[in-house]
Amino acid sequence: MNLVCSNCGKREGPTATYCRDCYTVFPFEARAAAQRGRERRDSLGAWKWLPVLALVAGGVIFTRLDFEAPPPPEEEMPEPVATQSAPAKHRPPRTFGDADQAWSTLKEHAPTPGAGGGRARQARVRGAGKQAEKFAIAPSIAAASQYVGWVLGSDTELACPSVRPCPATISFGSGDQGSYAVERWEGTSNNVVPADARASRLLNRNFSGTMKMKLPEGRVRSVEIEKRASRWSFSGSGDS
Amino acid sequence: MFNPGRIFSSLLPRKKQERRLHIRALLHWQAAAGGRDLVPLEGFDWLAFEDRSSHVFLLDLTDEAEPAFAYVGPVLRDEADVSGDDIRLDQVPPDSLLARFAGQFPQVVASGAPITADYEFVTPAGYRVLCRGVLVPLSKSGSRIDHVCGWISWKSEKAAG
Repeated sequence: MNLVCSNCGKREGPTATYCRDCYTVFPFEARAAAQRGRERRDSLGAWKWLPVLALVAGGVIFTRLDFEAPPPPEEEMPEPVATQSAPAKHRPPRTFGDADQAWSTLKEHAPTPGAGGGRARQARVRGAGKQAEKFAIAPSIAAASQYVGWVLGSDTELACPSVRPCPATISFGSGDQGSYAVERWEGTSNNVVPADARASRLLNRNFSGTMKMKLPEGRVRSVEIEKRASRWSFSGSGDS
Repeated sequence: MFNPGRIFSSLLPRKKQERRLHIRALLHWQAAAGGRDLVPLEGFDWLAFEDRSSHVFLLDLTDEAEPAFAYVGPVLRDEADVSGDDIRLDQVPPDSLLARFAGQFPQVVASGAPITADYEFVTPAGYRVLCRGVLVPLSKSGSRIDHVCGWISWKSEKAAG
């Protein structure tokens, strides 16, 4: 804080005791007040620039955050989808490389659904942008919500190779036969998967728990088949 | 600040008080001398009567060859543009008021009595400054005048023309 001469109006520094123009001596109280203000500023030292530095740093951080902001929530949708609608004008066309890979992995691990497989089901999904878009839902996902699966009893031992499905034929009491595949999963149950719609209908109609199954090696065994509503038997323990 | 005692005392009739600094200093020295030839430095409170001691200086003549200031008031320091504790008289700018008045100390030593001096000058901004000063002899040793105390005050006015 500078001192201002009451006689001539000249401004002097905070340490001045008198006006150099007119030699008016500044009152002690005014000098002391100016000196206190100067000492306060001196005591701040380099810290007096701290608010300026904080503002600059805050601006830089804000700018970086703004540039590195995550994409809109649509990008976070985990389901592998294939868009059927035109992409929004302000966004580049979406690519589904990762989604396709995830889908293939999903198909590899998922039990083949007994019905509805191979046909895409369309649904309307309301996105985060409040704009309804058409998506093609993966068949395995759509079927999984309706899937009723069959598994062999836990004490059933098959000579099928691991992971790779082996064909089997089930003979029902009515004399009908259906073609199926048995998928072995290490540590989990063996899934009995109808090979076609007819086999699925036969199993649905004639399910009785214990059935005759003709295995690839030609033997016919009585096997315990359990019916269960399964969504994702490939995940977790497989007993969900 | 509210001061009831000061307000009350201002209402009482009082003796006219000397406002001029150099006269007050001279009266203070005469009271301390009490008729003695040498006024001891210890018994003379040279900082007492001037508020903030801004216009006073104490010149130490112990070393007569190099007189040095034992004290310089802040206003006089600022006017002479000197700083620090050990200030010799020959280090003070000769055109400063401090040098002009303190340089009169030989007259005080020679006469053994106070002297007064006037000085007048005009600043570059066009203000006439009228200065008055008084120097009084003091003795620390008790045998001779080895200190001189002085007060310098001034007033200014806009120079005509």
